[in-house]
Formats: sequence, C-alpha cells, structure tokens
Amino acid sequence: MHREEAKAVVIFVTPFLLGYLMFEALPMVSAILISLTNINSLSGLRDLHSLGFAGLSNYAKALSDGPAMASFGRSLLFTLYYVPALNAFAILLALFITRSFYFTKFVRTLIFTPYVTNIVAVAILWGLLLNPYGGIVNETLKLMGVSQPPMWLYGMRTALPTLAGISVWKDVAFQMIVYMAAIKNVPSELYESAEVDGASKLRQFLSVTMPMISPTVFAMVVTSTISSFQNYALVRTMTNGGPGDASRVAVINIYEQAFEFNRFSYASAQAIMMLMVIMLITVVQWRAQKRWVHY
Amino acid sequence: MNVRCLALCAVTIVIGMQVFAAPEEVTVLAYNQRDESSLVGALYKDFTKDTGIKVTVLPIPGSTADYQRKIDISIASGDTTDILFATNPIDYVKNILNGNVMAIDDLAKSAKLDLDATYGKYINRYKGKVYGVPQSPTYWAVFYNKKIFDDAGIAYPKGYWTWDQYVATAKKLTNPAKRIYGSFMCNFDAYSYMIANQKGVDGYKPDGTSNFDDPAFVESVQFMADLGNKYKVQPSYLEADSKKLPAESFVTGNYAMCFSGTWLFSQLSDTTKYPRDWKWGITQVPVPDAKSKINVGAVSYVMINKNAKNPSAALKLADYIGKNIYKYTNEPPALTKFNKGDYNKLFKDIAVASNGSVTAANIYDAIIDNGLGYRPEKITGSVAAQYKAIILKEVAVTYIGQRSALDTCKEIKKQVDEAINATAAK
Repeated sequence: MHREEAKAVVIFVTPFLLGYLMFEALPMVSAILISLTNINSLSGLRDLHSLGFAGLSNYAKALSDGPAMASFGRSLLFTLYYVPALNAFAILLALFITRSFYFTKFVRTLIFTPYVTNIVAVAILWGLLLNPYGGIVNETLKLMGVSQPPMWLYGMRTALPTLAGISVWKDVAFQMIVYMAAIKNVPSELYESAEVDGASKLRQFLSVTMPMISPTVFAMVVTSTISSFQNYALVRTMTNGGPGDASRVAVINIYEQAFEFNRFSYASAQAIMMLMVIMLITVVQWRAQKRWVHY
Repeated sequence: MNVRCLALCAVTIVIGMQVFAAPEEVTVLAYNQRDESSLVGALYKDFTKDTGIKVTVLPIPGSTADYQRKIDISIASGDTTDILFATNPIDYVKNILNGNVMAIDDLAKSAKLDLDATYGKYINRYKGKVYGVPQSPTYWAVFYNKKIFDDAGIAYPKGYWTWDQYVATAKKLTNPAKRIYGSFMCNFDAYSYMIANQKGVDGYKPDGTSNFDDPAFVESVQFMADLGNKYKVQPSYLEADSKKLPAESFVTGNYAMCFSGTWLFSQLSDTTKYPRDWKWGITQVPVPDAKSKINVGAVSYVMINKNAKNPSAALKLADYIGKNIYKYTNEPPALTKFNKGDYNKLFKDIAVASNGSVTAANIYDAIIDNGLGYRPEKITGSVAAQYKAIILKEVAVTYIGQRSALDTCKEIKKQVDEAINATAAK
C-alpha cells in the first residue's frame, strides 16, 4: 500500500479504535481483572492495601451460588422465549409488509414506532395495559368469558414470558426491515418455476423463501440471542426481578451484587461468566449453520 | 519600595483576603423531603442567616433507595459533598460499613458540642463511636379521615385497641361504591414484620441466624396479606403496586385510616401541595394483644462524608438540623430536653397547621403518652441491607397469593442465613 493510503487508513480508523479501546476493550479487561481480585465492599474499593488476588474463587463461588445460577437459567429461558418468537414474527411481518396495500407507509411507521420508543415509556404503557387490576387486557378477557385472566407481570409463571413478549413487540421492527430486504432479494424466477411445478404458497415459502434467506435468518438469530441477554432496562422497569425471583435474570442479579451489596469482584465474575455463556452459544450456532444455512 | 511600604501592602492584602474571602460553604446531598423545595429549604436559609455559612443543596431525585445507591457510588468515586442523610438505622449502619462517613466524636469535642447531652438516647453508637446527628425520630400512629367516619356514623378510635378491632373498624368504613377503603398501609419492609416486632420477637436467633421462621413473623406476613386479599379493607399489594400508589396516599381522602409513621405530619401540614377539604385525626397504634403493647419507630441521621471539604461547617449544619428541623417540618425532634411542654408547643404548631383537625393533646396522647413501649422498627445487624431486600422480594409472592406465608418466611430465613454465612466468610 502506498504511504499516502496507509496514512489515510490510520486517520480514518484511529477514532473508532480509540473509542473501541476506551469504551469496550479497556472496560472488559478491567472487568476481568476486577473479577480476579477481592473487591467485595466499598471500603475495599478505596483501601488499595486490602486489595488482593483472589484467583478464580469468585467464579467458584458463583457456580455454587444457587440464586445466581437460577438467574442464569432464567436468562436462558428468556432467550428461548424471545429469539424464536422475534424471528418468526419478524419474518411473517416482513412477508405481509412486502405486499402492496393501502397505507403501507403508515403501517410501516406504526410497526417501527415501538422500536424507537423509550424503554420507560414502554414499561408504563404495558404496565397499564397488563394491569391485572383493571387493565384493558384483562377487562377484555373477562368480557369474553375468561373468569381468571392471567396475572401477566405479577404471575410467578407468566412474568418471564410476558417480559419476553413485550421485548419482541419492541424489537420486531428492526428484524422485520432486515428480513424485508432479504425477501426482496430472492429472484422471482424461483417463485415462477415453483408455481409452474404446482407448489402452493406455503411450499414456496418453505422451499424457496426460507432457504434463500437462511443466511439472514442465521445472522438475525445470532444477534437476537446476544441481545436477549441485554434485558436489564426492561426487566428493571417492569418487574425489578419480581414477583419473588420469577423474572430475576442474570443482569438483575449482577447489578444487585455490584450496586446494592457492593460486591464488585463477585459481580464482575458473574458478568464474565455471562459473556462466556453467550460466546459458547454463538460458537454452537456457527458450527450448526452448516446444516441449515444455504449460501 | 521601602520596608514600611511592603509591610503595609502585606497587611492590606491579608485583611482584604479576610474581608473579601469566599464565604464558608456546606454542600448537602438531599433526598426529596430534605431538598430546597421541601419545608427544609427554609431551614437552610435560616442557617445561612444565623451563621453566615452558605448551604448548597444537591437534590437526588427518586426513592430513598435510589438516594442511598447514589451516595454509595458518589462517595466511592471521591465525591466531596459534606452532608448526607441516613433515613433509617439500616442506611446508617450501611454508610458506616461502606466507609462513606466519618465519626464525629472528635469534631464535636473541638466544636464544644455535647452530643449526649443534646440527643441522649437517640444517639446511635457503632463500635463505640458516633457517626451521625439524630433527627426526626418517627413514631407510628393511626391517622384517620374524620369525614369518612362521620359519613359512616362510626365513633373515632381512641386509646388502647387491638389489630382485630382495627380490622373490624376498617370493614365498617370500606365502601367500594364510593371507592373508599377503610385502611391504607405502604409496602415498606417494616409492615411485614410489624406484629412480630410488637410482640418483641427479634429478627435474629441467639446463634446469629435469621429468626424469620418464628411463628410471630408468619402471623405478621399473613396478617398483612389478609388485609388486602381476605378482608379487602385496603388496596391489595397487587393493586397498590400496579397502580404505584404513593406512600402519602392517605392525603387523597380515599382512605378512612392510615397506619403510618409520623413523617406523615409533613404531608398533612402541607396543604398547598396536598389540598383537602376534610379534617384528620390521630390515635395510637393498635397492638396484637394486651401482652404486646409496643409502638415502633426509627431515627434518621445527618451524617458527614468521609471526604467532606468542610467537616467543621458540616457538623454545625448537622447540629442545626438536629436541633431545629421540628420547627419546619413538624416532625418530633431527637432532643433529650424536649419536655411535655415543648411537645405540646410543637404539637400545637401541627394542630394549627391542621386547621382544627387535631389538638396538641390528641397528638401527645397518640404518640407519646400512650402507655406503649418503643422498639426500633427495622431489623438491622450485619446483613441489614440484604435482610430488607430479601423480605421485600419474598413477601410480595405471598401478598399476590402465590405462596403461603409459612413457605415465604422459611424462604426468607434460608436466604438471609446464606447472606450471613457469605458475610462471615469474607
């Protein structure tokens, strides 16, 4: 590369690199280092003389901590609810929206509105709608003859799936846009030949559309799996991990350990463990793509 | 320039620095009820007038839990704000254990302040040292809406009474057609174990483990759940939480009675922020039975940041608050020399502010001269913060009817014991 080009590369890449180092790499390295120390009180944070190397003891403690492991389990369960529902719903919406009908742009705007709405506003809105005490959803269900409507965010068994559902509602627009682009790129000749061969719409969807957009589906599944673990704001504003521990996911537990009980090293260890879980899932997904993704 | 001239210049400069020096300043991290827009704003102004020390208030919005969290993080990162508040004994101990605050014994000695003589039994010593100036001890009482009682033709409650009588009265006053509940209680942790506390049952067993599996705690949790779910005399936990009913909901006029701390005087006295056209009354707390005649309460504290820029001025303000806050908020003070006459004068101020709702004698009889003992309302100890968090989290499951009180109390004991073991292992 010519010197001038190299200079230009350095100039353009440096701002991103600096930002990445300051706000991503350095905090991650700090978190790893903190997780290997014994800073588990505020006074420990100030008194550097008491700072000591704790090795992997914080990790061992987390693995034997029942509530912590249960919170990881709930995070995985949230992912199982969230990822399939999000991608299935996004594909269906994308199929619907690629057709032409009246008010297409208005409908697209309506679908995109939750994505750009502040999470606190979303929490207030759904809190009102799903209020088991006079909320419009349960009142409608009662009118329809359902005598014991679900407790939604206040049910031990319904809190987590309800949160996942609200999260799907909020995030589906972005996935829909990506799927729309993928579906539009499927060559129309493939549909024509399938039609000539007598394939129904469903068969065309399963045998033409899905294989052709499978790389996009793979990318969306990986990214939505990663983002499913980043649900602190939604859970905090809607249920704060309750009722009891019903929706206490890993990020809520990590926050509480760090900022309520000041166990910074212990919380960092759990955060790094969560990172490793996400990486493991992503590796498994990469390996499995050979079986179902068609390039 | 000769020596005389130089000397004259030096003296002029020194005198000028004294005269034109920036005034002494104290900074305060304040929660809602202690910020400049509250009744305490006037206290800060009067302190400046009396001492010449400027007060800069840094308000922290949100709940007192948000306030405490902010303190922890701010001070850990080197914040030099001078004064912070501990709204209850749990936060008092938490601030000490976190190394947020300084002991004030030596400061008080240098300032010739005799804290014991002024604050006596309200002083809270931790390992022999004082870390905060007491202010506004709360007592609990039942406040009632006289209009609702008059409309229902029920006599006002007075004197000794039991929780069974409270529930019976509340049932007579509850009127769903008019959207009136007979009772209102907040969702603080202290409510969950109120009956156990009144029976004198401790939060810890003699061996240091949690005592929450004691039948008194089970009874307590069940009682609180039944008020909303079984007797339906107050909003259920589900209704209160989903509608985000605030702690001062009594002032809305929709509740016949409210079992609350005397911090409610502050809201009841503020008819600008909480206008109403009805009169209120006050009576002593109900008790479980004749053997359990106890009232509960908590003392809050003004504490000084370990990194304070101006600790001496901060102590002056803390002491000023401790001695004078009752004049602004009508909350009883934590002063040893506050005698019956002083209480009556304070309560007279509350009575005047109540617009004829109550007399000084009513208040004195309800909270001071009620024949009841006094216990701290909170479970403290080495895992006070975890204990509180676990109680609040777990009792909610019983309150929404998804687990029995017995199972909840066992779960609380299990989790608190784990926290105790984890703390001991540190």
